[in-house]
Amino acid sequence: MGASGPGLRVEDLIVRGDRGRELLSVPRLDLTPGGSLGISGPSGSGKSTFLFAVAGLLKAASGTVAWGDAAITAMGEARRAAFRAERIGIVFQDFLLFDELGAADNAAIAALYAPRGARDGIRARAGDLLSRLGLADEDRPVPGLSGGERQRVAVARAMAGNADILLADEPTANLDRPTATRLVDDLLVRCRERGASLIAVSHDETLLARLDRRIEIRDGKVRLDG
Amino acid sequence: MVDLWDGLPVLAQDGLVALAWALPLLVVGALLLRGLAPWPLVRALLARFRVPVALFVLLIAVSVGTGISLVAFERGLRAGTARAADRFDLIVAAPGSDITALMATVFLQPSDMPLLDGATYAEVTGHPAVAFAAPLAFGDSADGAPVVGTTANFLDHLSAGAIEGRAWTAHGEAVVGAGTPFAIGDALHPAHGIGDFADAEAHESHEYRVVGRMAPTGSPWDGAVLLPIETVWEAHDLPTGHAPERAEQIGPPFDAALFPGTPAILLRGHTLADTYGLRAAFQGTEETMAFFPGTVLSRLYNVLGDMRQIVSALTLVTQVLVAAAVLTGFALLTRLIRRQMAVLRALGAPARFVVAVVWSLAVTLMASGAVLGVALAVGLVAVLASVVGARAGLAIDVSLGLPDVTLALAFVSLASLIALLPALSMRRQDIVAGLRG
Ligand SMILES: Nc1ncnc2c1ncn2[C@@H]1O[C@H](COP(=O)(O)OP(=O)(O)O)[C@@H](O)[C@H]1O
Ligand SMILES: [Mg+2]
Repeated sequence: MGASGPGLRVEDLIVRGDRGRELLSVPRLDLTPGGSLGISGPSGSGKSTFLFAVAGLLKAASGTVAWGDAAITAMGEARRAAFRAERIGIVFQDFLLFDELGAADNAAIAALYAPRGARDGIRARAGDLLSRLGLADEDRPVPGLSGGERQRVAVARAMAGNADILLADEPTANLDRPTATRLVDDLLVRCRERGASLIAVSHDETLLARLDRRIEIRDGKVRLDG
Repeated sequence: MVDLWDGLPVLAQDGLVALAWALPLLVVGALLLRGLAPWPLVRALLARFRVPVALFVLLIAVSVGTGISLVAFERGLRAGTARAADRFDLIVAAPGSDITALMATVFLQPSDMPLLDGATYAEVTGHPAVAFAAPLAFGDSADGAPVVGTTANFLDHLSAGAIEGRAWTAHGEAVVGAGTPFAIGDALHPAHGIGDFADAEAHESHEYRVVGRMAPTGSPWDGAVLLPIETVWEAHDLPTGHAPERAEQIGPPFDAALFPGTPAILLRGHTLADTYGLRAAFQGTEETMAFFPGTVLSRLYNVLGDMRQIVSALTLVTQVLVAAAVLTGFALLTRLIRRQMAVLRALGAPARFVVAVVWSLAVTLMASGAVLGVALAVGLVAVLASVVGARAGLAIDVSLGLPDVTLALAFVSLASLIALLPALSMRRQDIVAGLRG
């Protein structure tokens, strides 16, 4: 149900780090609208950097990243922020939740800065997602939650803004197998419901196997797999 | 414009001044917070950092509290001294420093003043414009309290008739101020001089008996012992101002030839114009000077007024410095939330939201400190007033008004501008670097 998320087009993308060191180089990568992509590769190879680049969180040295018609590399900081708020949900490595807030407030954090008219929608969706992820009426603060529970709060937060692009950075790392499987189920079901495009960085073969396609990043270079 | 301002009631003026000070705070707040709702997060962060936050709030409270107290106390002190001088219309003394004479008469500070002789006393008090005249002979003490020899009309004037017991009717009888530890019936032992310089041997054969006690006047005179001036002279083995056959008389008229002298005379004319005329008549003559205590006090206030401006300015500067110090500590605190702010921006929060969160944190801190500071000032001023008031024998008015609260408001307002610095620095933070922690 719902329209499908935008396709991704990456062309001649180069991201540089300290002293001009090349962190990532992507000559060409496409993702069909509503499609899903898995990224694997050794630690420190540039997987997170790739996610940050397609989320518009860092300034590319050159090249283009475009979601549908929206060339994120051509936008200024404020427009990229607005684009993320409206279109992109991110599940960070290590969750990066707010320890001082409860599960519901974490999931609905976007209500604090969204336009007034959108706040109720965000809160309602966050509550709905949490209850469907088995965390209804959860008011323990984050430090009291288990790893799996935090991961689900992070997913709820990523999707509470009704994003049609979902980026997940090693979402099942540090989870035991049953919890990881349930989280992957949740993630994929939510994405399918929303029609969202999904990019997930993971070493988890069971997750990668359930995505449309996968690539591998080594030393900042993309190797297209199957 | 000036006319319009002067035409406003004081409260409206004070209110407008307060509003003007609040303006930077209101404008910055409105611009930053428009359309954003950072409070739940701000509250949660304050709770998380409650220990350093409480410390900062306390620091600010103490600095704001002492600042307000000093300003309010200085004002109360001025009102108290002016009130103490109220009952002293015109003072005539031998030529010299009018400030010394003022301190000696109104505030009963020990001083060595030359005396006016009998002829001068007769000339001054005999002036046709005089409606009221009384000699004030100070310099002695009795059991630690300053002693003033005078006439019964002054006793009546000072106490406004409110005397418990009675006025003196004979030599050796004393009426004491409400602040003295003496009771009616007590015997007092005179000494020449006051305090450390008192010489008890000098008058050892004399004794005063307390027959009356005045109601409080709120002035240093509450701590004084009043006597017939004849008794003071007797204690010094001087003539009593009266011929030997009338040795028992107390009060005027005095025999100029037998008048040992008095350091000061309090005068009042029949009308205000008369009093001014008396001042003109006795100011700057060979034998006398004449001055209005109120005028000398305002001259003092004028000198001290510049001082007060400086103290007020310094107070504000100190507060701003404390605010800056607290904000430096605060900036260190914000490093601990760098990562969270990066998460917010990565999620799509506008940079202004992150600025608003940090700014609201700082301003909540400052405002809480200022409110607590005002409360602290209320207590501090009361303590200052009672301690200093008791030592100087002055009733000091302690109320805090809108202008004092405005001082706290001004502090918060200025601090809210300084708080923009750590807040805006969050905005320049690299998002990815912040996320990587
Ligand atoms: N905190 C950091 N500061 C500077 N450079 C970093 C930091 N973290 C990672 N990098 C650089 O970016 C490169 C890619 O890192 P990253 O994208 O996080 O890799 P991955 O997610 O594949 O483990 C690393 O090789 C490292 O050189
Ligand atoms: Mg990574």
